[in-house]
Amino acid sequence: MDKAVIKTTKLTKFYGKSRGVENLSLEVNEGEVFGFLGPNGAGKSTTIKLLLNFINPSSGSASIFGFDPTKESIEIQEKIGYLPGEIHMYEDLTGKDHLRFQAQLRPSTSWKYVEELSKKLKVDLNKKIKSLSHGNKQKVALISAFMHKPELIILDEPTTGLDPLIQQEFYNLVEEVNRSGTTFFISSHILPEVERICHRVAIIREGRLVVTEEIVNLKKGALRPLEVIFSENITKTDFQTITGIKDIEVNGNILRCKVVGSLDTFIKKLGNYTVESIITQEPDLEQIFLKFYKGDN
Amino acid sequence: MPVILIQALKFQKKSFMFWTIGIVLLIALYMALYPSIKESAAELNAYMEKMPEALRNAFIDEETNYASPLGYISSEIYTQMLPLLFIFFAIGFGSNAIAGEEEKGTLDIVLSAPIRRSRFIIEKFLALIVSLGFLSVLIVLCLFFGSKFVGIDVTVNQLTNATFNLFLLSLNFGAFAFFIGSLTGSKGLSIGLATAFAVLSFFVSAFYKLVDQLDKIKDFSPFFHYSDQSALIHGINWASATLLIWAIIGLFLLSIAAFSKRDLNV
Ligand SMILES: Nc1ncnc2c1ncn2[C@@H]1O[C@H](COP(=O)(O)OP(=O)(O)O)[C@@H](O)[C@H]1O
Ligand SMILES: [Mg+2]
Repeated sequence: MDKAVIKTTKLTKFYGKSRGVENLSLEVNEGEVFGFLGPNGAGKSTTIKLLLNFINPSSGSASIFGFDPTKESIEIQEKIGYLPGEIHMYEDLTGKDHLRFQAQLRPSTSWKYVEELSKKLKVDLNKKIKSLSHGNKQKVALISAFMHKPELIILDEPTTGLDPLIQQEFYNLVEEVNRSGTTFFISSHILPEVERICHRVAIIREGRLVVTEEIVNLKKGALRPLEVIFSENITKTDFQTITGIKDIEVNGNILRCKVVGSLDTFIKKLGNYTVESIITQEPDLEQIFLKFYKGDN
Repeated sequence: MPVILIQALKFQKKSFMFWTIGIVLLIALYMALYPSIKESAAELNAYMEKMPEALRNAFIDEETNYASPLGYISSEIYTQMLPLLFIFFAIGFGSNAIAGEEEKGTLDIVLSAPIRRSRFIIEKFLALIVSLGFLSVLIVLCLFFGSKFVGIDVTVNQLTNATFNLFLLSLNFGAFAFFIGSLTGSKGLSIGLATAFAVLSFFVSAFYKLVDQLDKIKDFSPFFHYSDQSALIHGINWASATLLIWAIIGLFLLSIAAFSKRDLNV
């Protein structure tokens, strides 16, 4: 199962003197949904263009399904679907004609599946591209990334411009297609999105890889906010010794704090008191994410 | 299936329609003017007749003789109006083919599919050839029937010769625009350089007899090879035509080389 579908080794691209991406080494395994997270200008699109052989690396290399994009891009492109970060289409064609044209370039396309996808994403394929809203163009482009049932789907910021309901529909689609074995490489600058659909994430900042980690492990390192109401007043010092506890605030019989990782010692400590209620939330990755973004890890 | 070629031609449907209407009207106009031009040209010719034999021969032959029907078609239509139209079309098409798509950002539609860049170039270039071929056939038909209508005696064979020459001339500039577009991805640069090349080439062919420096470079001027003899009257000069064909093949191969490895602006 852990076969690398994408592998980059010190992949580097400079546009003249300006940095695109630098020394990027990562592996994406077969069957996983891999998130590629970073702020605008981090080098996400550059990396994807290198994988697709639209641009040549300055140094380093990449391999997709064991093929070298600079020499064997046809073998690679037979197995992939792609959604560009900036979508430009033939404005005078209808969605249907556009997809027909692309289907001719990708013979494994089944038209029935195209229709299924267009229903799922709620887009009218009979309208001309130029009359479609940004979100609807995005949907047509999404269909073309999925329609030939490729083994690997590379999506560059797929949800920009989609309204929330359709985003949900899109997340479901990714899950469903992934269940049938398709590998995904999804770039995004939106953390909750990556958290929602990806198994693993690479965080990239200013062209460099900051960390590659499983979402569940990231969550282990994330702070879980907790609020506990006791039946009697408590003091701060009672709780300071608990492992992984942070940001303790005590207000009479109310304790607010954050806990990293396992809650086990915290819960056991609560056993010594009478507890009225506990409120907690999913640990979110925001802090971790911001930490990596700011670069103070 | 040449999917890209077919799609490129489909995109031209509207443009083909306008060009067809334009060409039909223009040739109708030229044909309608012929009878009156013939009259005034006859007077001019009568005047020329009075000139000494040697001087007269220096001024006129059948090609510049407007009163001669073939002379009219050759000098009015094939040396002025049609080259201008065809080159305009060819440069537009050639610069649009690669650079136009690159600037619009639509290259990735085709190139993210398993399509070699060389195949993309080949089919796009074929689309240029087919489009110019379409216009050429249209010209032959219009001129043939138009001539019939005003009583000019010209054969399909003669028109085909002249139009084939015109096709090669315009394809040269179209291929040049195509090459610059493939190399740089800039439509403006492609149109600009190709137009400059066409204008220069025209001047070289017009003035090389007067200016020594131009005489030295005349072989690089497609116009020189186009106009060294009237294909309508004397048939195709195959030595010149072959040179034009080699230039086209050269530019085509250069386009493949330029496009197949460079960074694309997608
Ligand atoms: N064609 C280009 N020429 C010069 N610089 C570029 C080009 N494309 C991208 N860059 C630069 O490379 C960096 C990474 O860009 P990009 O990969 O598009 O980032 P992202 O997709 O993560 O927003 C940016 O600083 C951007 O300005
Ligand atoms: Mg981007």
